[in-house]
Amino acid sequence: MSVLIVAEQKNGNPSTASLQLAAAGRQLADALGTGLDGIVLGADTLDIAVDTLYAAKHAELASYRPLPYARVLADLIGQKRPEAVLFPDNLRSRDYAPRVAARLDAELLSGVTSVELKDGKLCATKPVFKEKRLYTYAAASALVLLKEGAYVPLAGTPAKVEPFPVALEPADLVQTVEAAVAGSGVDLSSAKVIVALGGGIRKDVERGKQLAEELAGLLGGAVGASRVATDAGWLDHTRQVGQTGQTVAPELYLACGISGQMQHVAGMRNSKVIIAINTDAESPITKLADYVVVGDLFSTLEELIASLKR
Amino acid sequence: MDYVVLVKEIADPEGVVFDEQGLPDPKSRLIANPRDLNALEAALTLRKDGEKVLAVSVGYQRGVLEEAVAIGADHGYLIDTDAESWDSATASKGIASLVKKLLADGTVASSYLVLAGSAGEDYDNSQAAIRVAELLGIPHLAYCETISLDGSLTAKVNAVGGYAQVTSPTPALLTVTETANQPRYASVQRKLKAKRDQSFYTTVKLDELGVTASEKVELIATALPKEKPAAKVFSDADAGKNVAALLKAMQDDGRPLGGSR
Repeated sequence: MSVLIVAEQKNGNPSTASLQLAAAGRQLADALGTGLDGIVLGADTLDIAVDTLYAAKHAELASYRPLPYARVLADLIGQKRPEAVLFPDNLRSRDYAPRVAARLDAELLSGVTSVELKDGKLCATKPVFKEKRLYTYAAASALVLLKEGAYVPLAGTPAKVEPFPVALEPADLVQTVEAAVAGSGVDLSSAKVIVALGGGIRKDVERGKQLAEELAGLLGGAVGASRVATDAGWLDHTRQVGQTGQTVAPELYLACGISGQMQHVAGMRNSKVIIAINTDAESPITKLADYVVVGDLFSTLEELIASLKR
Repeated sequence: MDYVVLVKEIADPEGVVFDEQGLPDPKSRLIANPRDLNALEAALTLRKDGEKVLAVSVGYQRGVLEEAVAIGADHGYLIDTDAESWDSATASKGIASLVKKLLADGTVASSYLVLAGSAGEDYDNSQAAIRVAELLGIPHLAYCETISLDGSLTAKVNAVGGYAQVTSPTPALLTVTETANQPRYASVQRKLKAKRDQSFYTTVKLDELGVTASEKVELIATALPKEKPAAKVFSDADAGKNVAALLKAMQDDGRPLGGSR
């Protein structure tokens, strides 16, 4: 019996989502009275608070591809048979985890916002039908994709690190994956404040970007964007927040000229505080926001900058 | 190259009605999962003369297959499950078993692609399609934006932090995003033909495919999402006044802009 988390690393550091998995995983493991283990792929260690960290380091795991990832994870999970395996819920895990689940004939629950032990069963709650209802599912064991923002990150280091032998098959190496977009490389998931730009900067794109950069700088944050703004080429694709971009949950999210399409909201709805700046008081983002400024985004950003400089 | 497109009928998330237990009422409007129509569009665009586009659906009625045929699929296969509920794992086993059968009897050419929407907009499970790829022993490409079959299979896919370019051998399975294309509409004539002509459809029972509906996951509770308190709105014509009021409200709420500064 055990709980396993699949930790992500970037440049040798754990992602914020992985620290949240450590928190959720530890709670579950304590409830089960078992240990919490972790695995990291493509690294020989990681600062993550687990009992045993399995480090799967291999040249073929240096950059992401679904088939080698699925092989290593199915091998480890098949050997250790944990009751619960927690993954960060993102485009990547939604790419490889279903393959792991099928190989092991295991259950997989995605988009989960909380996980707990009840009557000896693993219970996972997730929004369905575009967040109109929350459903709680129970299973004896499952793979769980946990959404970012649901748990307070738990920092720490592994009590023990064990190399995990990587045994890839030729069939795992048939695809090539190249990052097609040379991006700004911004990891928005660790930003405490995000100033996000949308279609509303159309009138003066350069001015909008300049103001957002300045405000983000003053707040110690980063600039993000909606799909409208990245598809128009105004901002780099790597800055896109949403279902097909990054999922973020910062302390403060400023949605500037963003209407709040489902696709965008899916990537930022767990932000602690949301400020929407929009000319349309009825746009969907206002339903989600804590504060709504109805008005011109350029002059509003200018005023915000001026007040922070005062 | 032949194309197998997975289509799912769902309760329209925009208009779904829930019963007292919080389950979607059977009277809710049913639609084709929107992204599955993007997958169908991708297949119809890739298809060359003489190649087949086959639609496959798991469920208890064929409405979504009629839509797929009306739009341009050559044939619709319904994997009929009598069971009240079945999960993604069960559905994927049924689909994989049917595809294997169609490959064995030559209905589907040995060079083929399976396409599906990148997620169902009902339960957001986003796993049945990729499970099918694993069960068929073929590679998959998830979140495809553009797909090319010039020489080899390449696709621009959505990836963490942007896009990636994937090159893959075929056969393969692809999941398609809602922004990949604009699905075409069916003509009225074609809609009528799809409704009337039974020869477009084949129904196979799930157990005939050697699959038993199982549900190792049990729905134990439903709830309404917590309602967020209404936003504080500042709509003065003067941006300076708006911002001053916003900053004061944030201060009063104990979360001043810029932290403790």
